[in-house]
Amino acid sequence: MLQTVVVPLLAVAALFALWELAVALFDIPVYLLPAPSRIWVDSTANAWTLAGHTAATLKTVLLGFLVSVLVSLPLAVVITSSVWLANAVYPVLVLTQSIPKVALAPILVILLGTNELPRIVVTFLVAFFPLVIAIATGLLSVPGELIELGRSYRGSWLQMLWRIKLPYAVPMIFSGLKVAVTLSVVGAVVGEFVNADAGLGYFIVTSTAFFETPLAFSALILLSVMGIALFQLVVFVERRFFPWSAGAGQPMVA
Amino acid sequence: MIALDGVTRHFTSRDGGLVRAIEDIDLQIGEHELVSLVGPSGCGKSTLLRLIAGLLPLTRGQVRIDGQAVTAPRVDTGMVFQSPTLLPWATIEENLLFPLRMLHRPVTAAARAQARELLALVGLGGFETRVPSELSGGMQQRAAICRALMHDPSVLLMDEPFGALDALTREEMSLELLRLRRERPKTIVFVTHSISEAVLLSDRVVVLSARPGRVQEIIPVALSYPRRFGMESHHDFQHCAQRIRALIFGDRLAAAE
Repeated sequence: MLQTVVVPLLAVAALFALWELAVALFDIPVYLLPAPSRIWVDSTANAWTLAGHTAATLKTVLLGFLVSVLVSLPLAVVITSSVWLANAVYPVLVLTQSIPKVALAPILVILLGTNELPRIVVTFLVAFFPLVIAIATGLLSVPGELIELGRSYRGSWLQMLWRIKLPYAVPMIFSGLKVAVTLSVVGAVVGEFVNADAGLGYFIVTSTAFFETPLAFSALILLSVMGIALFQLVVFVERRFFPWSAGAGQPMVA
Repeated sequence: MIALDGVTRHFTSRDGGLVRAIEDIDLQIGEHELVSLVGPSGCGKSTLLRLIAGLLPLTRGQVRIDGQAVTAPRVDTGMVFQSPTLLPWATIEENLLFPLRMLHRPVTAAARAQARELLALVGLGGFETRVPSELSGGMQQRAAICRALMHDPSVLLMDEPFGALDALTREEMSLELLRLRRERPKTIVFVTHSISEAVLLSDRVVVLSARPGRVQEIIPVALSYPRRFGMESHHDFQHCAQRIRALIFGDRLAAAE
């Protein structure tokens, strides 16, 4: 408890204290680097505005993440089921990843309109690839003898997938989910930079345009808190529903 | 019971060459007989076992169990692998019920009772609700043997089942298998690389030659039942072991003497 909670908290507190001190000591103007105390004051004054933007971003993040999961799972199953399909799908996958998503976002707005959709698509495009790779790796990592065991009981394709391969892949699926949920936040902000009328990414753009730097910092902090919270949510789900997986997976730092 | 008739298995290696793993094997295995397959490493004994299991296609020849040709895995065979291959996410009891679920058989109270009975038989009573990682290697392998018996197969195919265990656990497991065999007679094909294990456990030992694997000689073990470790000093035991060693090592052994 002392090592895992108190020490990190103290370290963060010390960092903020140093920041506060430096801003006061060197007399840094607010529009360049606001002190933590100033960020706090401005944040509480605009709490409702920030809450609204946070909710908008969270919605995009969750929808994008959900689509990533819904697409990645069947896609990974398809890739690992047949060499033919793998050869057909894999190059397309790599192609989507070689395109910088920031560059793609404005084009998506033209294609899909100035609404929520391009933001969700960008979020999905940023988040889904590591998830597909993680799930596919998990499905392929099943030991040969375990496959033979399933076959010796005349397991059908569906039984092999449902009773052996998918459960076996769970630890790796969860490491993929942890990466994907964090990337979803990145994707949502990229989408909001390009086209949005709400959301923390949009709020950073408008705040900095008017040199309201403390509010931009508020949005920044809220984004990182959101990332950490979503990551911990995935960790919680894994520990709660797949306890055998939590120990098997490699430890990851939030 | 099990009849192998000209069983041959060739496959293409990664560099495109033809590998003759198993060549023209004829073998009859009687009901409730325990036959061991031994041979130099790479002789294809595990391949032969998988051909009997229906896990690999034959290149030529035929495997028949109770007169029926084996073309795919059969319901009346059970496999035990070198590694326990237990499902890490399932309890020991659920692992034992796995064959029934795969075979779409009902998981009844009677089935659960049978699982507990089997576990008790191999000294794993009370471990039903544990997960595999909480068990030692030997205990896991015992659970795997129980699992192979759950759907009550008449043929048990064991691929170096004790190969990954330490020497002491191995001996213990051999005794366990002998006891299990007395309680629930099965036709057993047992692949091993331990000559003393083969002699102690088997009715007959099939010695395979180096690749391509052919039957070099079939050695009947004339030891009486029940088998005990004390028999290792017995004249018949020594005779069998020497003969197998001579067949496997051939000239090299002769040169050493």
